[in-house]
Amino acid sequence: MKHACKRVSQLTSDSFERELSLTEKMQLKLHFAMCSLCRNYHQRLATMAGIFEQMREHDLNQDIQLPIEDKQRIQSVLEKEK
Amino acid sequence: MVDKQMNPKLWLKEHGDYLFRYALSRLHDTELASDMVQETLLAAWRGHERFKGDSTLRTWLVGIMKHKIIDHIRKEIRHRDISDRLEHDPTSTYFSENGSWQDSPSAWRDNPEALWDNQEFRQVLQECLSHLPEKQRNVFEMRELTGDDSETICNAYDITPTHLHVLMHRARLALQTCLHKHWFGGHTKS
Ligand SMILES: [Zn+2]
Repeated sequence: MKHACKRVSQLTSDSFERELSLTEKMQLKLHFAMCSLCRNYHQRLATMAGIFEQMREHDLNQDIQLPIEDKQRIQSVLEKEK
Repeated sequence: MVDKQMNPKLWLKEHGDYLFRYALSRLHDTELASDMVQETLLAAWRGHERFKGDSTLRTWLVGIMKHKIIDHIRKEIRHRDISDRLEHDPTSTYFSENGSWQDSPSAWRDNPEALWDNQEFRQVLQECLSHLPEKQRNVFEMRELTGDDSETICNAYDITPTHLHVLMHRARLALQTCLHKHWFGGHTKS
């Protein structure tokens, strides 16, 4: 079980990125069954994933706008194009 | 109906801010983001007969912008050579020699919706994101904030999926440490 948690932490992150192989899934399951720290880590990553899901749903920084002078500049560029 | 939509001034009015935020969230540079809006609208106008109306106009514009941003990132990488700054493995600081956790992670109790609703938390989150190393941050934000698929990101940064997964792993380790330090660990809850 050397380097177990370190390796498992990469797998835990990977589980949010790709479909794990059956062997990898088993490894995670077995390790989680006996290691509460890695379970907690997984839970933290799941919380973060949930937060970013919220972030994607709500348009980020809704108060930020294209500066008015840029709008005017782009508008005149577009007009020239017609 | 499609014809009525074919007015670039209207696009600017209705989608300009959105496109600007979209570019800004990836490029972190207001001037550059504004240029991207201009280039996107120009390209869209020049190619407007290609808009089939089978997606919304915004989706179509975002698609064009996406390509422009990826092109930009690819050029940027060539210029500044940030492509191969593969630092020493920063994950080793989180683990002891034998691969066990240095700081035992505890569980976080708050749910994501409640956290998201909290303005203070969002600030801490932005702060933590801004402290990630440049490439980790770019890749992580492209993946998590804008929800791009790995193919798009690997293509933009010219990296392999394995490399992407390593960067995501490093970013997650750093981010959860920062969030714990500045929020979950020290934050007193009623
Ligand atoms: Zn463990």
